[in-house]
Amino acid sequence: MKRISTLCSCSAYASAFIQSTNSFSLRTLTSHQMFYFKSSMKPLFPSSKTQQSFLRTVQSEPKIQVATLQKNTERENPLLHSDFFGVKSLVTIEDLYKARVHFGHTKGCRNELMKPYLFGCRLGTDIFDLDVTLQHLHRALNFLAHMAFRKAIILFIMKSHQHGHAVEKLAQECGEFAHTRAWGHGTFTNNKINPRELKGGIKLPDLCVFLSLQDTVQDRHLAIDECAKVGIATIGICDSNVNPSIITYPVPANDDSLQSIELFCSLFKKAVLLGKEKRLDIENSSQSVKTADSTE
Amino acid sequence: MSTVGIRLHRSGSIYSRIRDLLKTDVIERDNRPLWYDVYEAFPPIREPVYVPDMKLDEFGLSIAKDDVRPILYEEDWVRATYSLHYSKVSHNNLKDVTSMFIDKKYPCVCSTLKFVEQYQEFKNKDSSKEEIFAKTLDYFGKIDLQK
Repeated sequence: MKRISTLCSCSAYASAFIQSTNSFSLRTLTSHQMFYFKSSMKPLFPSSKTQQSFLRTVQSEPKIQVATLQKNTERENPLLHSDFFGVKSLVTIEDLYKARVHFGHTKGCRNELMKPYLFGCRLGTDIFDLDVTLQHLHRALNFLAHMAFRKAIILFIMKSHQHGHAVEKLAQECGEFAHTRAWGHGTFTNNKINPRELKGGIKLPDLCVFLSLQDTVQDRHLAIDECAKVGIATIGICDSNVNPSIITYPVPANDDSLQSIELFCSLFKKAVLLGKEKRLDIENSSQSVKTADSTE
Repeated sequence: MSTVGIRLHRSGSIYSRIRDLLKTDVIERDNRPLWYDVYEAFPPIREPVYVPDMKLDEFGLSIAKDDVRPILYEEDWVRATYSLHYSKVSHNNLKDVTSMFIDKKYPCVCSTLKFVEQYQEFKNKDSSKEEIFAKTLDYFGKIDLQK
């Protein structure tokens, strides 16, 4: 715990959050003891096949019942909802265009794997297809909001002198962690103690958000491989000169200009806060239900 | 997260590795990572399997074919001719891509933009592009475009 607090610039909220959950396993609490499943003995999240068969049986029943059933499932399980947090309304293509997200690098330093995300090449400068970018961005934001909803520990990573402070500020404002300095080799992988047991070892983050995949001008960030080795999901903004293959939710976009980084910072902050708000709402409503039951 | 399982990030994706461990009961269902359910519900467009960078040739140069389409416009001829021969701004300005993608709402002193807009207004099927170019030059002869 000491190590993560020195390693990441954590806010008061985040440190308090970790201390409070230190006594028992955080992982089991967050993902599997979601309170709305406590009372019932159903499987937590039914697999896709059971979902489909369930929906089929619903469709054969009368219309009124279908509506009520669908409402109930939406309230119970946010994973069945296509856009539970309303993330898709946060950003439009015009916002992306005005923030200069479409500019890539010059074609000389293009990575082959970024070709499918490109719209074309204008006078030697690669231009991203913003339709594709928006699709990827929506998925990434949705994933981020869901993880925040499940009380995941989120780590924002960017090695940049120019934008480092903005990223740290973003992490502080949404109560998460940031790492914007030089990356120590083996920070995630050299764990002698099993992180699950939480006996003085570091608790690894559940999600890493890369605002740039570059470490220095030439090299890619060391944390990308370490995340993949340890099994941490990643969201990454990939410029046209990086290898995006290993990133779980890549967002092809410009990661160099001030405007685009500001836009992404604000979007990530909004998504995390939306997830946390939903969690608070549901917890409060369940508490009120419990108190009402006890008074009866 | 994983004291069990393979740590080679080049084999499969993080999802496939965890899925197989779950299938063989190496990891218990309760100990699966937090992102696992969200990933299954909202999978990414492409599975994050490692693909190495393309190898370079003996001189350290890329051997990839440049098959990304160039973005060109009809009015590029007007823009280029005006900028080369008539614009008071230096020719390096041609390399400045931002001036070509500039938003009309923002105030700018880009004379080429004004010239091209006027050219589009004069455009018709009968006359050739050189004639319309000359006509636009005459139109702007009285006005100082650089302001």
